[in-house]
Amino acid sequence: MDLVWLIITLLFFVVCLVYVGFLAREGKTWKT
Amino acid sequence: MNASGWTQLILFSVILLALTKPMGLYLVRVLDAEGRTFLDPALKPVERLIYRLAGIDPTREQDWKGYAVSVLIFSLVTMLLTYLILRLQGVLPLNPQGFSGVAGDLSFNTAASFTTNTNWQNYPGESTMSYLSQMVGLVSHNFFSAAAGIAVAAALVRGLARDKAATLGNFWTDLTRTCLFLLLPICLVFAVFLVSQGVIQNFRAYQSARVIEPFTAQVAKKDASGQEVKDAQGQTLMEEVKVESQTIPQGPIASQVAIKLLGTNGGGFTNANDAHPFENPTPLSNFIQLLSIFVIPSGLTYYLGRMVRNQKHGWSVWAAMFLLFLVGVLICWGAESYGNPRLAALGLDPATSAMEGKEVRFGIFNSTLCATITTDASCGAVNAMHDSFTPLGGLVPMLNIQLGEVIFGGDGAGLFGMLVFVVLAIFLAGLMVGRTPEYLGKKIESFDVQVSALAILLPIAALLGFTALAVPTAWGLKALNNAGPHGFSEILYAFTSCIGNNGSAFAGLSANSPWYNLTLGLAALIGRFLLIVPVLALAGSLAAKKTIPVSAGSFPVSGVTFTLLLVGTVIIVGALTFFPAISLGPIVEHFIMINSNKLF
Repeated sequence: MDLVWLIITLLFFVVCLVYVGFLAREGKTWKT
Repeated sequence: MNASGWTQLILFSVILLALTKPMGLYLVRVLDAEGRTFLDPALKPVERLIYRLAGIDPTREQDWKGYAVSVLIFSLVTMLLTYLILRLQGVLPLNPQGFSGVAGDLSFNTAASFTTNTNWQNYPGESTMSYLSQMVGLVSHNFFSAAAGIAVAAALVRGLARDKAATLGNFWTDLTRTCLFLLLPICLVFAVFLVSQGVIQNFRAYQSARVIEPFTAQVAKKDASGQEVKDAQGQTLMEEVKVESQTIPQGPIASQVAIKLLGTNGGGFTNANDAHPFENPTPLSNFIQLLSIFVIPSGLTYYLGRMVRNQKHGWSVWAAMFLLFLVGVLICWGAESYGNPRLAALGLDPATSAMEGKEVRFGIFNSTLCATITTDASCGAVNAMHDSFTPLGGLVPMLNIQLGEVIFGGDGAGLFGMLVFVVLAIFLAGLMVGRTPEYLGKKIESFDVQVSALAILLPIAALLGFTALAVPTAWGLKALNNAGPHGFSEILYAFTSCIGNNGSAFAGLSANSPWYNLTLGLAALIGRFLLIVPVLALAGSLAAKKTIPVSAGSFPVSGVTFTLLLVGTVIIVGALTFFPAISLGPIVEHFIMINSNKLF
């Protein structure tokens, strides 16, 4: 079961890193 | 609402106001990598040693992406370490009670909760956690999560203060300096004060004492393997047990209590938290503890004013926070002083009868003051059970969290949350009067509004989504101890508390189950990091902009109009979002209580 909780934790932080990348890309797109 | 309460409220407000400037000035020095403090002779060598050991170059600044990635990686690593400590506590030292390792789902929930400054506790601390787990696994997060929050707030303020800059500071430097120069020294003095009041600090094994009046209690019958015995209908069989002795917990409590309040963490050493005499023994300890929750968030508003060279703006943000705090405490105190009309109908004095769930040492006023402060900030330490409040009294703590915990708020989190509302308020005001939105000389453009909206809306969507998921499901309802609107409030409060990184519980919800541990843990992570990422993106965007000189066409960000606009924005966003949900909980419960004899 430990593996399940560790994977959930890692997945969440991967999503956060993707979110950083997404906002960085959006920031360039919307730069005026 | 008596004279004693009014006197304490005025005293609390005056002292908080008096501490704001000195704390703000000290924060300016701490949050400057080259700032000098009176603690330099003792702590500067330690700071240098930490940088050398960790390979940190304090002169190297990060852009918003680097800063965000550092926050995330640091949080991930410390969360995994806490998970490991909790799972292995049975074989680790400082465990005189011989507690076994914590279950996987509860370890995940607790690690997520403490990493995010939430401190939601699905366990009674004194019967689950070893001293090592408490001190290393949990208290370390009390320091780190508070320091990380302050660091993110400082990054946002630098974004406002800098002109066409690519960087926001260095997360590792901010984290180190905040822990070393701010949190640790204050906690050291604070813990000694708490010991002087009677809070304990030791590593002894728990003590056993004979109770003065032995009594008989009904407890669940267990078989040889420790499992509860059920009858044919699946109901738990009960048996009578004569109670003649009591276990008295011991432990390093003072050191944990100091940072749980100063760091706006809130996780109690004991299950009763600040209602336990070992954590909060006297009215004086209670007063100072409440003050310590607000002192850093309040000082951060002065830090904001100083950094953006507009002190009136800092005070206007402070005024908006204080106004919201005052309204909350008066409603909560008024509701509890009015009490339950059913008790009044029995001839009881409502001003003194609404004491169920409250500590007699603190009374009604100090219970409501604590409930308001602990939920204005993201603290969550409680000295009374919010579940026992009247429906409207209980509504105040819940709504405080739902408004985004921007009423002074958590260490750092309160300020960056409120600044997101400032951006939104200025954008709305710009739309209303036809001015180009501009904040402290920075043009507010589409990307800034988008990330501000994301910071507000994503956690809210998760909060309402998780609540909607729990309410119709078997696992969601099985945890309830109350039916009807009060039961709904218990579920709504739990997800509100975790998304808001508050950690206080409405009580009455037995949430230590795999599904609740998963969803509440995820809620805490979402409420923290899906807010921090867009806030840092906003900081990066603002820092890169050219600062335009303030002119007659600039929107004023100080004074009564700005303060009321900010308060209005916070309330309208909160009211529009949560009114349907709270209508089904505390509001309908209030009308049922008033119009019929039904209580929940």
